[in-house]
Amino acid sequence: MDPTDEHEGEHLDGNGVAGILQQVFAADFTTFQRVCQSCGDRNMGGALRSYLGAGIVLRCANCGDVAMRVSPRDREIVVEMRGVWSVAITSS
Amino acid sequence: MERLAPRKTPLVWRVATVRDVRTESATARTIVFDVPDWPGHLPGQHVDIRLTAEDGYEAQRSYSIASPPADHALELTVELIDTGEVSPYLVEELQRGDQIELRGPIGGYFTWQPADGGPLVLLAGGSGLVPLMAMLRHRDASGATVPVSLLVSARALPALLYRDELSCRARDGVEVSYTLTREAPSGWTGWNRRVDAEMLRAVGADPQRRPLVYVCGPTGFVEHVAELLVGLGHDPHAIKTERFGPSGG
Ligand SMILES: Cc1cc2nc3c(=O)[nH]c(=O)nc-3n(C[C@H](O)[C@H](O)[C@H](O)COP(=O)(O)OP(=O)(O)OC[C@H]3O[C@@H](n4cnc5c(N)ncnc54)[C@H](O)[C@@H]3O)c2cc1C
Ligand SMILES: [Zn+2]
Repeated sequence: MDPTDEHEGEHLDGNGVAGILQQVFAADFTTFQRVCQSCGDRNMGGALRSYLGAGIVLRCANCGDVAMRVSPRDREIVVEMRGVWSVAITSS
Repeated sequence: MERLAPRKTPLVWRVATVRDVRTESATARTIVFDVPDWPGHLPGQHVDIRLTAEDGYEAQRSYSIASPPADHALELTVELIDTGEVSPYLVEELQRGDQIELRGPIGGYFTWQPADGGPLVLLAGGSGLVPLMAMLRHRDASGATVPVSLLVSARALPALLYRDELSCRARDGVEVSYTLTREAPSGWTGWNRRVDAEMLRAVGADPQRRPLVYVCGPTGFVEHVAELLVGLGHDPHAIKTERFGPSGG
């Protein structure tokens, strides 16, 4: 199934896929900041809308444009991110 | 006051043991877990639960943490979805002493702590009350005085969660209101309809007060309430939402 094959109205928030994405980024993506490439909206990863299929699609809550696509492919996970993301990584 | 960040620990599956189970309503149960090396959590965070069948089939679901950070055990409250894959097991089968895999805490976005301030407006649909309850419990446990207004929407009286506890907590700046959307018993003094703009104004969700608003519940409930809030003039960025999944509220 194409990960963009979404069921309208069945979306969750970024929070709803936070566990899976924490495996991908090794960080809490819900607190990443993003500025939308389409509408300029500034928000956190947790505020995006998430659509779950074979992969994950995250969309801007304001304009609906794609913010991130996470697609499992063979043995890897391909992550495409759109817009300007700022990711705070605390050094330990 | 400084805002605490959750400690950085890798998200790993841990084997939790059921310490106790409590009936919470006609259709919901609270499960108390002992989790080895639990790193601690913030109110509003959730865990993922993984069930594995003997043939290797896996099912994974998210559940909000009901207990406040200071508690020693980790509590989840699960609402039974009759046709569901995971919730019937958690609500009807899991016994004291059983073990289950979980990972967390997850999600720093839908959280509140005293340093975030207030006033707080908490809007819950059904089991969406669970993470908001952790916030309220933490407010009280930490001695914070932030004013809180909680609106709980449920189908009918027997479905209401934490009713006795909420009536005890409804003082010193905490107001609790209810609406029953399907059936209300005779003599019911709360509301008896779907959440609407008038109700939201009555519970203090007025943009002039600049409240921090948290909305949680089934996706249909959250959509409906978030739309009403924007209609009242709230900045969408001041509203935090958590959608639990399909169905209306
Ligand atoms: C971040 C997060 C936190 C959550 N916290 C809690 C919590 O604290 N307590 C809790 O009880 N649940 C919570 N949920 C919901 C939970 O993850 C499951 O979706 C729910 O228990 C149903 O799982 P199931 O396997 O029983 O049903 P499924 O097998 O997934 O679904 C069976 C049928 O029920 C429908 N359905 C699915 N979810 C719901 C729902 N919420 N209401 C009505 N119908 C539904 C489906 O459309 C499907 O037709 C949370 C969800 C998220 C994303
Ligand atoms: Zn946008």
